[in-house]
Amino acid sequence: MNFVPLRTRALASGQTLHVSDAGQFFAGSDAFVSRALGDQLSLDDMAFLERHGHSIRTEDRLGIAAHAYNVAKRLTRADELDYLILVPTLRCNLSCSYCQVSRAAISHKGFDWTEECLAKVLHLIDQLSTSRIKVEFQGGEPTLRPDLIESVIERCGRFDEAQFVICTNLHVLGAAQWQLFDRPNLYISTSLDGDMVTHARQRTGTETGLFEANLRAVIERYGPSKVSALPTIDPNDPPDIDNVIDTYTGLGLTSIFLRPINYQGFARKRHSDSRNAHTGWTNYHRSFVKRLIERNWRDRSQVLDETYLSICLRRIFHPGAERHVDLRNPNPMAVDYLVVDYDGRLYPTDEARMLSRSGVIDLSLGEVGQDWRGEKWRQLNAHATNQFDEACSRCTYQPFCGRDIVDDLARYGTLDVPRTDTAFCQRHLSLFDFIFELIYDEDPATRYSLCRWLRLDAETMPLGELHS
Amino acid sequence: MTQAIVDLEGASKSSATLAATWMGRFYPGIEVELGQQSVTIRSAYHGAQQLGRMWRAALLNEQLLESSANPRHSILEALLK
Repeated sequence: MNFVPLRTRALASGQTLHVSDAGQFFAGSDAFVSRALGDQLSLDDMAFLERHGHSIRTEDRLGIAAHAYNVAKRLTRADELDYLILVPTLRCNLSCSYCQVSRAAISHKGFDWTEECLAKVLHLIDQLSTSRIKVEFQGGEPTLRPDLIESVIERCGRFDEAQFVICTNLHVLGAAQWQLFDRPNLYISTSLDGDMVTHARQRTGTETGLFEANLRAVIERYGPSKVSALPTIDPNDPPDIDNVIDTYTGLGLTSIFLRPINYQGFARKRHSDSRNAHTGWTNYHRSFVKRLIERNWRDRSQVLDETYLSICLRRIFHPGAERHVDLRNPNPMAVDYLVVDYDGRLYPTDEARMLSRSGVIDLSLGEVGQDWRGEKWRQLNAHATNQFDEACSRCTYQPFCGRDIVDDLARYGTLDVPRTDTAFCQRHLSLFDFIFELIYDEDPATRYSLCRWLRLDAETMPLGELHS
Repeated sequence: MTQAIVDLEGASKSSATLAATWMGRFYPGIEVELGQQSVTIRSAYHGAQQLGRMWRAALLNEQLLESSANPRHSILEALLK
């Protein structure tokens, strides 16, 4: 008797995608599907399935063990806390229309870490058993308190490897900020909403010139590899695709991480129509990626990519290599990363912090200095997998997909919504459909971009197995 | 609106029922109606041939899930315990 751990889905191209629980895949013809349904597989069919590990004899213990190993490689291993998101201040000098947190005005008191809170954060860092750490400073605008950031960075000196990211609007650039940015292990992340006109409308208004000058200044001083800029896109009113690409490439930035407006925080109040903007987003994203493919093929001097699509692609082809916390399975909460807010409250994710601040549900896990692994933490983690859900267990893309319970709570106020009804599922089903359309696209331009995004040496090559 | 009627051709009742249920959830813009001998699929976005392919993929998916349920469960249990 054979064990065939495959799941199947019809592709728009006319083939049927077959994906094993270990994430290995092939596209089968309709004739093959009919033979499989009729229990009339040919010797060639069976040899193909066995050769690729898609059909394993149940008495083949080595084959079963190899399959189990490959399934395990797809599962997230979260061992120790080594990633902190720190919010030293909630104050901000801007008031963007879809700021994802309830920010505080720059002049307000009581929205920065106190001395006591800083001491507890430093103590938390002292307690970590990891040899490498990543710290992301969020806000508010964290550069308003360079002194707090310096304290944390200095305390991380004992780690073998330490990497820091400051998420900043780049409006405050004095001597203290430049001194911070000069650190070679510190990276700058900012927002650039497509073109400067859109950015001005959505974020910076009359101060856009200052932002643009500062962005150019940091890129000129450090090069584009130290700086990332992310656009937040309104799917109902997206910027022109070529304008976005031209703006980014004009700054030397080749990776563009398109993000739809996140339905949380102030965005929840001001852009309620973004809740159901799935189709608009999908169309825009697909058109954007196709445009990148065209431009990459036309001009081989640089490779442009859409970051999230590249992450999904690598989840298909490089299991275990990607540690993007928004797309992983299981998605353990407050195990390998943790958020400390301006008031010392702990959260499992930055989105959970926003959700708590916007009054939807309190997902705080306690105070820094206390053990956060209590009942709420256990309950969150009990649901942090896609492994046993009745929809996910049927889904062809389950080995590549993830679980985002905070997004479900943000949108529906409950985890009990059927998975296929959630925005997370619909977005990723559509995204993986698109990616497999690209994988089986024979156009050399598409293959060229996919090879670059997967960091392959080959100029172009077919990436998906076929069986007729 | 395109309509495809596919003969169930000896598919088990349980697999066909599950396939009909899940097909409507996994493929946006599809309506599926299961009869005794056939399944009727309607969509404004897909041609009849593609609807037939979707049905066969959904049915095969259910058959594979049913036939591999036990070893799948054992493997996951061993990995996650």
